[in-house]
Amino acid sequence: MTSLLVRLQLTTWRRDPRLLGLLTAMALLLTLASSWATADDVARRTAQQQAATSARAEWLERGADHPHRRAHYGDFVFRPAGSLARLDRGVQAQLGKVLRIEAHRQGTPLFSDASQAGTVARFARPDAAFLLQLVVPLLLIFLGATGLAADRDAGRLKLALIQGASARTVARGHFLALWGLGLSLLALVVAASLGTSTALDGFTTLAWERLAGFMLVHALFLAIVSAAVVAAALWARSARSALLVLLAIWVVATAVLPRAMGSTANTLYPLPSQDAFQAAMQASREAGPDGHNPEDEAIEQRKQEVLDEYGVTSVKDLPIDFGGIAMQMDEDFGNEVWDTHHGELQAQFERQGELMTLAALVNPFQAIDHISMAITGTDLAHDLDFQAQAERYRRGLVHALNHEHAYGGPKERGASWEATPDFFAGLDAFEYAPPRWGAAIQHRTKELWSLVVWTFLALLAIRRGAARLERSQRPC
Amino acid sequence: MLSLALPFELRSLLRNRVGITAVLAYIVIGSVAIAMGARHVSAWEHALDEAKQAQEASVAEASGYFESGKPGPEDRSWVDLSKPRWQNEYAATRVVRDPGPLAGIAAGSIDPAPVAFQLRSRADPLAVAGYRIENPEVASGSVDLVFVLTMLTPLLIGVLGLEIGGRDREERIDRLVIVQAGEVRGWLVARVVAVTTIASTAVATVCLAAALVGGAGFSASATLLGMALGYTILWGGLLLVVAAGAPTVRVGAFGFGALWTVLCVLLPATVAEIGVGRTAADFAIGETLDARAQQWSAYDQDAEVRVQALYARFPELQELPAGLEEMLAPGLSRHTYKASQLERLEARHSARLQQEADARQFATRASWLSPPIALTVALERVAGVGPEAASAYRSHVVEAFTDRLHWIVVQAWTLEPLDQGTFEDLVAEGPAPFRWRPIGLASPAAALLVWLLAGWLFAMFRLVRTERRFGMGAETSRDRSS
Repeated sequence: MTSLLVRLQLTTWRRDPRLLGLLTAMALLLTLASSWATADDVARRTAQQQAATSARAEWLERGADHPHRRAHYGDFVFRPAGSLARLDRGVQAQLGKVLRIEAHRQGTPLFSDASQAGTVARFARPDAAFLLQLVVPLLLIFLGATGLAADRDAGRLKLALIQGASARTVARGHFLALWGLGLSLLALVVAASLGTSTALDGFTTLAWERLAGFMLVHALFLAIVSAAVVAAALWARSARSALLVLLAIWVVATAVLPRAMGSTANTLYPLPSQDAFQAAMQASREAGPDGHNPEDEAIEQRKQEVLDEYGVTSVKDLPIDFGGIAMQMDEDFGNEVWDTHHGELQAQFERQGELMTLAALVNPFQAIDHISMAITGTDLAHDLDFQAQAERYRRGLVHALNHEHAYGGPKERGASWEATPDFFAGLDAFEYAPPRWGAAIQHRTKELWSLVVWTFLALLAIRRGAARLERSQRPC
Repeated sequence: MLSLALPFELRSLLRNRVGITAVLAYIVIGSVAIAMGARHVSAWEHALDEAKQAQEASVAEASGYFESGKPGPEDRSWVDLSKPRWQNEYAATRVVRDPGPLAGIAAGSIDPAPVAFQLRSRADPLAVAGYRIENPEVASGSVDLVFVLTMLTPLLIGVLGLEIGGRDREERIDRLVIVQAGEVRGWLVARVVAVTTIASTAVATVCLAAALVGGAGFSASATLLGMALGYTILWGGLLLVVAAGAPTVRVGAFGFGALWTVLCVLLPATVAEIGVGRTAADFAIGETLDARAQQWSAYDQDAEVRVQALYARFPELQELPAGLEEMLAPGLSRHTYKASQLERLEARHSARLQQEADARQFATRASWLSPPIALTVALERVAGVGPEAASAYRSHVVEAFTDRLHWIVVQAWTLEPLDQGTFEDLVAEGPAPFRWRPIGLASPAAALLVWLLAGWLFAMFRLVRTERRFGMGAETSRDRSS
């Protein structure tokens, strides 16, 4: 009986030219958006790799150099795209793409897509996740509210019940038809992306486990939407009121609530301005050693210790270059300052994130958004991980350069001494290793559980709505 | 008709819980957006205050050295306030950017420039982030008045006028109207005008409140109000387009929902896809790797080549004492890099301006495609917040920075030690604060006007055609089934 009802629903959609047109348009839109986003992602990855290769080539081409001079010459780190950014770009457009790596200072990633694209960057971009999380639910709402509720308005539901079908079976049929449609569109999105990937980069960059996770959570989300639509149709007095209620929920859940919560998070846990943050860092740094200041007290004290250690009375008698040690002292203190200030900033990010997670518990649209971004590697956690790895790279690089500055080269070297090109070539270039997807999803377990609970609640609402319908507590 | 329709719609609104809730919700969300905007402006002003305090502290420190006859701090023997480089450092001049009275309305916009920039001789005016540190997961969901006006105003009109046309036909009210008035279109137009008037009152309320909170003048307030009301009337026309042909409320709701989804969600998203997609593969190689290569190649240049480049840029230096000497005076060598520094800055700035002009042109063209884009572009330009205002401020900074480097070089070439008087003059003669003047409003305003006229004309055409086709009232689902 259930399969018969599903087939009946599918036939109804196929026979109505307006609905068929809408479904065809939606399928085309999804295919186009998914393919476009995939092609865009492939182009971005290629450009990122080219930029990183060019940076490495420039690093190597400089040849022999003084290590500290090279530390100021620095390096550039180019942000790679998220593992599955072709399906969900997440917050990638708001993040700076290039980070300057240099001695004495931690940079801010600059040149985000949003800052370069002008006013239009204010609007969301239509990738697969955008369509699956916003537009497909809207389609399911229209189809669902004009399906079961319309059957009831027109008396077809009564006819089915008289013929022996239970209300629960009817509701199940409508739910499965809607969910099946949602799953078909999900499969279409993934197939379009895989097809484009095959044509452009042959899956070389595809993260299969993340893809499976993406499909699984979206399947769950579409089940919630389908069940909620059927439940609303069962509980509402008419098709019109079901449609109105569902549309109102959609607008509030997708447009109003996330923004309202975002603004609340910013109000409750305000972030410092860029100027204030930099000024606070500067003030903290001024309290510590300055590697470029030969009269600095802390540096002077360390110098004396080193002189004592080597049993000499003058820096020029040292078999090493004290400058490298002074620079590393400066660097170590700067790192502590950065860890303190950036740690506080990150803690504030986390507080904001916790509030957004709370909102996601009551809003499945936000929950799926958070989980999807985590799976595809395009959320804030991945951004912070990238920045942490870039900072570790900076520290490692500067430390190696300072060590060479202090201990490399002959004992009697002059001011014009330069380390060999082989030394610089031996320093590894930055390579970002994204966190394992299990670790990435770990901080989204609350949202995952909320989706499970929402699925249960929506199915329960269908069950009880169907029972009420059967007991004729609702008009049918 | 309007005299009948307006009281009718007002009565309906008072009896309709959904309608009255929608109006109240709109005003409440609008008020929240205004409050968020005021908070944004307050944070902006706070950042300016902090910059001002930092500058004053630096100036006070320098004055202390002058008064005690010291060249600078004791633990930094190389600092010498008689030199232009250090006078500039301690003047700590900030080029500030004052918020406009309506800056709060576009608080959610992406604004990639600071609100204060210190004119340090080795600073890079182009390599700076926006003044806000933002959590990207939170920032992409801010409520500001631009969002309320562009996205929620159409929904308000939709909720208030969802039943117009469809309900009239379902319940055969249209037949009754035709019997009494001879035609139904006047009644439908009057109902839509009444709904638009009610929505416009809500829109005007939040706009005037925003203008009042920001302390905007008549011109800015009128521009905001004009744009917002024009947009509301435009959506009234689109509601009439749907109402003209809706046989039932359900079809009307579906039609208006589809229209809102296409115009407010899908088209802006498509435009964003194309606009942002153009920069996605741009890793700013020109501003990073290329600029660094040029910078370091300048360090390797022969001193004489650098001096000639400097004189080519600032010919008046050759007439100053250092320029008249055969050999470059000691200590001046560091300034010879400034010609190439400015040359690189100008080249990068020019490339950036070109990119920004392209983005601006794209946004202006996209305005014709969808009214929400047109209103967003117009309101960002009115507010002085967003990428275009950031670009204009950056140009202002580059100009001030160039002037300051010129001042440093000229002072250095005089070979005279500078005194406290010169320092005080330098502090007093800082660059003027940047104040955004709304520009480029004509195109989005024209786009809104064209949409408005086209919407209403098409709606009237559709009404006339529907009446002609079916003689009297439009076809209903009941007619079809019979």
